[in-house]
Amino acid sequence: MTLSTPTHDRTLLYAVLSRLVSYPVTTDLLRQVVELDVSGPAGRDAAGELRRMQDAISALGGADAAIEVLNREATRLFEGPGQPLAPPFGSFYLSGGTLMGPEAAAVRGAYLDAGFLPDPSVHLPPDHLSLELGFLGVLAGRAGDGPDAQMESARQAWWGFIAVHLAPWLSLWQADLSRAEAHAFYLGAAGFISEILEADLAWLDEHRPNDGKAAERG
Amino acid sequence: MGAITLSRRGFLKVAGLSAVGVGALGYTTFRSLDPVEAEELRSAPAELKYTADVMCPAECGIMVKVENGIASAVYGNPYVPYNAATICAKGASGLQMVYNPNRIKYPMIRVGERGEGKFKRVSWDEAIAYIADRLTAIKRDYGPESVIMDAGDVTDRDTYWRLAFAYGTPNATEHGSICDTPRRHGPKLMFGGKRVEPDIMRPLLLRQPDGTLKNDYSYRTKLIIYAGWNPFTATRINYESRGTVEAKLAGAKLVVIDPAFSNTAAKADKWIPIRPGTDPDLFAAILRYILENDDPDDPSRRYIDWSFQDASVGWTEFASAFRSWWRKTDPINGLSYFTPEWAAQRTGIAAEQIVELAHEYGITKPAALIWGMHGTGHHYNGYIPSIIGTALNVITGNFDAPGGVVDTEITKSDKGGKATGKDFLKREVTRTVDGKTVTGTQEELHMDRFGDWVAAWDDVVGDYPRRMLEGVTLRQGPFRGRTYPVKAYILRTGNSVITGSATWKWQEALTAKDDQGAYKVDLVAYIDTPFLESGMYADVILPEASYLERVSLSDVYPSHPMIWLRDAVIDKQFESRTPFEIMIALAKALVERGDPDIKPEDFWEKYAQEADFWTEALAGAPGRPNVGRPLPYPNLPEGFKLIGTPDSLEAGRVEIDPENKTIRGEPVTVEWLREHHGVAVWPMSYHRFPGGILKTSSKKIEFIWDWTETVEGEEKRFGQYASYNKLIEASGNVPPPIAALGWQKYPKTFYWFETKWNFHTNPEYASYRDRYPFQLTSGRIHHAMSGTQMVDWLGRFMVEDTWLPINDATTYDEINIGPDGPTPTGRKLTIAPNTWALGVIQMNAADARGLGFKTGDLIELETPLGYKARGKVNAVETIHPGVLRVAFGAGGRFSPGLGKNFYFKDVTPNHNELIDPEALSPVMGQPAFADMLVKVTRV
Repeated sequence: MTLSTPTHDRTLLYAVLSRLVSYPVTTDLLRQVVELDVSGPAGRDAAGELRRMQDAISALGGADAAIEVLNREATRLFEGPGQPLAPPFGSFYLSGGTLMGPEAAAVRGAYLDAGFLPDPSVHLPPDHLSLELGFLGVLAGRAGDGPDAQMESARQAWWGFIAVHLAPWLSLWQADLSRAEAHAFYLGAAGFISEILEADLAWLDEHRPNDGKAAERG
Repeated sequence: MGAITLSRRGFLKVAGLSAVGVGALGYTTFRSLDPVEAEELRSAPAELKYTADVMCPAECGIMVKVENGIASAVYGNPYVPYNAATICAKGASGLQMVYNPNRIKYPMIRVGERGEGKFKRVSWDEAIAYIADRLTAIKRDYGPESVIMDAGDVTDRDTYWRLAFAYGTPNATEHGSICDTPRRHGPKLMFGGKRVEPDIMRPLLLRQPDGTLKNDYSYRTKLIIYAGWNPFTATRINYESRGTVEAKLAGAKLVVIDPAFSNTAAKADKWIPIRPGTDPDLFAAILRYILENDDPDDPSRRYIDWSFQDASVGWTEFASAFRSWWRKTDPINGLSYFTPEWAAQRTGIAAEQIVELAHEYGITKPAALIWGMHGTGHHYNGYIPSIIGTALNVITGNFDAPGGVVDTEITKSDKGGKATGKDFLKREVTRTVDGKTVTGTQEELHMDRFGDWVAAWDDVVGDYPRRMLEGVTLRQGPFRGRTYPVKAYILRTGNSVITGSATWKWQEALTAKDDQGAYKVDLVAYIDTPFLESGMYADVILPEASYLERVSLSDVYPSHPMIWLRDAVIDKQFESRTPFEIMIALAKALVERGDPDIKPEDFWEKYAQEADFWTEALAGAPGRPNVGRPLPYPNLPEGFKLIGTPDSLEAGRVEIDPENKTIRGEPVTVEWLREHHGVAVWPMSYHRFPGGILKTSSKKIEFIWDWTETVEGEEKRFGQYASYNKLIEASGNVPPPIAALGWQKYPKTFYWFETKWNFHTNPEYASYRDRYPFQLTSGRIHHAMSGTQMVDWLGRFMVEDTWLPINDATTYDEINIGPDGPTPTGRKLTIAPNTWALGVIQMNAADARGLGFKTGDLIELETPLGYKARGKVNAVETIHPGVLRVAFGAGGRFSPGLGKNFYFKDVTPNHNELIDPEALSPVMGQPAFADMLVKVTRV
């Protein structure tokens, strides 16, 4: 059984989200952001956050002109040198301000449970936000293609990964971005990521296997 | 069931995505694992991997627990006798460095002015191109010698040196001249060595009389005297802290001579407070007492073991020069030089106590007299206690004797060899001097050894700011008369802005501009894992793989040949690269730009991988002769140089080359080390120096340093100063630093001159006694002096009385640096009172009372030259009256990359804001860090 939507879209969307917090920002990425459009359940403002990014790109004079500004801002926010303003790592927020803490090991374990690891060329801690978002894309792909059991399992893993490894710290990361007076593009990016994940979490909670929920209750 | 029930109801929909468009973004991919591989990785047990530490310069052998690719704990490696399974707080907290969010993660290029700390991330290609473009232009416009490669304070600097030497500069250096060059000077002159340490490293792999090899745990030392040496807090010689305790438990007596009641003094049987900068006076008084009172026929006064003369030259001249001072009268106190009474006036130690100490040292055997780096060495005349101390250890029969002292430099394994690239220094080069084409070797362009510091051993880092501002003039050798500017400064694992003499002078030099508004130093590159103050002045920053992520070697001062592997036990984090990778990348970039000196066959064609380079660096190991009692390898020829693995030498799987007097076993390789717990240990023996282990020109202990002998009808010049004096004689140019002493060349034997900024010993400064009544000295706290300040755990506990948790309750705006320079993050950082350790000013309690100060008061120190620094008082009984002490490199730290200490930069004293930048010790250019006079005022 193959479902082309909605999970197929998600594999693509998560790839875009992953790139939003990767370096460098490219014109292709910004053009992709400009082309995006969202609609969805009432009460969510993903469209507003997306618009904030798009307006920011526009205000910078378009994708080509925005590159230098946004890459410098990414350096300031995520990389340092010195203390980064909004470190995009789960461990930083969940394991006492360090990198590669227990949270990183747990995320790596989640990758292995699904039968995946980041490409060996990647030298980021496993709980870097860009990797985590990329991994959601992998899970979304598996949730839409393959034997039923695999798809069910992937939906459970997809839900679980957001609930356990992203939801607990994304708001803290967003708050750091706000305090750092991050560029509107990154405030929008963080808001957009958060909106998407919250929406997906709710949707997945509704559609993940009942036995997974029962196991949590048990 | 399940999948087909998917509904799009409630699903947040996204339009505008296409597989082609998204695919073009090049996002990170995940690789799919087959179930077996995934299960293997998931259930993989934790591994213990062997490597070498770099949390402090001791570089202990360590074991790292690695789980799922993540280092989770650090232990001492039990197979490395140097630290023998032990690990200290610094080592144990290393993961906070490796996994610190503040570490440098990506290459960066400056976008503001130097010092503003504004950077943007760039790719490795961009960063390498930035450096290579400038190195290419500098070589073309000024010559390669205008580039300084300062490879800092970690011993695996070989890759950087190789690159620099191959590029064409002789100015590839390390931190040596801001470390302990005066402390090493005596062993250098007399042994060709570097450092004498007490024979307390255990276990020792000792050859037994019956021919077997055993790990020996027994301590033979009966007396250890540490003068200005504080192994319990400051030393990089790890074994001295536990060895001192064990020796004491075995019956040894410990005497500590130090202005401060240090952690080492706290373990001592006797603490003798001394005024800073008067160690030469005490040592000279001990030597005079021993010479005057030695009586071979009286067991209670048999101080000297005269057999030393069989293996030495020049004692008569040395003793004569020493005695010549006895006839002189000291203008300060009117007493004859070197008497106990004379020394008492200077040191503040009672004459009776000096006599008692001299007698006790002379009569107790085996004993070890050890002198320190800050305490005795960091003075303008810091060479003198080193020379006298070395002589004392020799004449009392304690050098290289069981329980005595060992010179680690001449006993440790060879490391580096041809990999370090020193052969490039022999290349013939031509330069135009005064309109004439002159030919010489690359090394003869050296800015110090052929400039102002002929005897410089590890270059003169403290003098770099002057050279950056004024340029280099060569005064010796074939290129004398040539001038060249310093146009590039590449700094790797160092922090010279804070530790390399006067901070303000470094800042001035690195930001100075020419008439066209360009920086005088065209290129400043900073290569490291932590982001320290010097990085703020860099044009380009390269992230170096941490010590858990790279391969190299360590060999820090063991008592016998031993070498251990630094291995990549975890993957490199972020985009950091190993020194090897950086070397290859820069070499390739230079070749691409047409560099005429760097050849593929010397770099990437020669070394297919990192381990190949380090295997070449092991090619000469251990490289020491088969000498000593018992003979380390009794079945192999005595006196022949040993090369090869311990097991092959032990089994006799060797080739013996009688012509070159070499015994060659199976080569030591990185792979061999990996298969042997990361370490190679060769046997220990004593009494090695009569067999030729010394690196002096005569192969004997030399009390004279420039003399001529007729050998096979030919006059030959011997002694460690001879080569320098030959240069001076040829040029007629006396190096200015020694000319300032009134010398025309380096002395043939014992010499004496007074230190600077000390009114107790130097009449030149007598007038400062009332106005600047305090001597300021410094001590090391290894965990707090450099990059390890970023380790949170280490900031929480006190160290002696210079590093205390006496912070005020503080809420700070957290600061970050980036493209806009240091910028508040918006986060508020709250530090509860008295929870965070700060560098403070240790002051005698009586002095504090007299001035109306109490612990915690903020005061200002000011020198006669007007330099100032602030800090909090710590009023205690643990320091000599009239003396202040601060932790070296611990205060005034202004890199936001350090974490919390940054927020206390205005209330912690940076010792180097006070130093006189002109006070470089005259023989080797060591900054006189401990020669300071100050007055104090309340802020």
